[in-house]
Amino acid sequence: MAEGVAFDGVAFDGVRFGWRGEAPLFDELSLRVPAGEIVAVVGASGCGKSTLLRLAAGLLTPDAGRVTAPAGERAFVFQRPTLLPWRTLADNVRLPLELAGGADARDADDAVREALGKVGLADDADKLPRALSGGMKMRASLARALVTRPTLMLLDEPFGALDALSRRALHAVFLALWRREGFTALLVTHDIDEAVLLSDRVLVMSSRGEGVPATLSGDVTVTLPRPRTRALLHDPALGAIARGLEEML
Amino acid sequence: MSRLLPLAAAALLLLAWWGLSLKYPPVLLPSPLEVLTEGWSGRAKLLEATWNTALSSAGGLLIAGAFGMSGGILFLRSRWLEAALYPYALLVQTVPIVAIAPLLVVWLGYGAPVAVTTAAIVAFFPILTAANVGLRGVSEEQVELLTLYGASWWQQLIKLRLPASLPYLFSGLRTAVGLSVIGAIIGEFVGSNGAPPTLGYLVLQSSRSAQTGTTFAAIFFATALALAAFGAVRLAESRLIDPWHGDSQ
Repeated sequence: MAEGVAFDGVAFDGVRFGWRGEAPLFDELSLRVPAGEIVAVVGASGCGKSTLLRLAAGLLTPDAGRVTAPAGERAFVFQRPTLLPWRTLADNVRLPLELAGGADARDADDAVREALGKVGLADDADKLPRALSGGMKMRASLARALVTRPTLMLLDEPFGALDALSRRALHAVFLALWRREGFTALLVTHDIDEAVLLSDRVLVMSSRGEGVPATLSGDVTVTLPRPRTRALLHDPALGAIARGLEEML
Repeated sequence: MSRLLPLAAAALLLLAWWGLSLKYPPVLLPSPLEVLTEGWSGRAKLLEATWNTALSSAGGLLIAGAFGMSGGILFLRSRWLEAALYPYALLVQTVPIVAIAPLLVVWLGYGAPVAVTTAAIVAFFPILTAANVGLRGVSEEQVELLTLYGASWWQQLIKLRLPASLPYLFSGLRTAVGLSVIGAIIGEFVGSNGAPPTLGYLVLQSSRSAQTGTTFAAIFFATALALAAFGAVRLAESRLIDPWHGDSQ
């Protein structure tokens, strides 16, 4: 757990959720994400991982049960950078502050500059998204998530669309940010190695077929030491955890 | 080479026109030189008429823009309203403007208001359609992003949907701007009494009085007006949209 963190985590208690007119996607789903931890969720496509994140974000409401999140701001990082193409990077990062209102313009400028600096884009503030590579856009997306100083970060396969080199760089950026900011993170990913490298725990979500609610069929604590680097990917301990997870899938 | 082809085609057309004009009397087909002479000698009146027609087209386009955008926003706000009113919007598009114009003279009397109204009627539908599609042309993630940060419906409209709709709107405007010139000229056919002069009036009067050279000159001025209006829209589009449009995320 990151240092100096003292807030509640994410809790799903007996959650039921289904799209209108369809069988429930989750029924009696319960899970805990302790404050300050990174918890990864892996599972087959379509089993409901992204829906789980949207429930945690408050974008969806459960049909039954309760979802609680840490007090404070929530941030969401989508699979695509989801930058508004007509806004410069600085204006994209400023968007959450604009919508919240009440922030002094100079304070907002400082917060934007700081957030861009944290992801290594301080010199690109005035560029339009179109001028950036995929990796840089995803960094900007992280900066926008950071600008409100969130207590909960929800990440929906944020590195999935990047090339191997950019993904490696973004892993390092994400881990450094987490160490510094101490937010709680729920990360959905298809990449088991990535899940093990980044997280404290990995939850395996599986569905036994159409119409049958998804369940958490595995909950594996990652005992690898922190701080973690890409070098760990060659560590036999990581390989053993990843193999165990693959068998659960 | 490919740039020269349109010029070569124009030269061939002019040559064919000149050749044909030798076979027919000027009242049926004046030669290019006769049209040029008529246009030059009547340039003051033609320019004044072009200006007046331009004002009616621009007025009609503005009204069409205001109603088209408002309609698009209303339809976005309420699917019920869209279901109730869209068929009538389509009706406005299908009723022949030539048939409506005399009725407008009865209601509005002679003068620019008839031309402004006919221009507005023909330009309305492309703008409404563009607004209707453009305001919905945002990704689910973009909407979720703004929802997550507590954006109101109006904030979503102003910060996301309106800017995102601009490429669609300009596409609709490119169609509407040419139609507005045609609509104004049709309105002038029946609603203009020559004081002040308008292109529609000049075309009608000169053809009735067998001044075919003036008719041709007025047609060329009308074409130049439509091209200039199209060029102005394209210029605005290139300034406002091109720098960011087409960004693949």
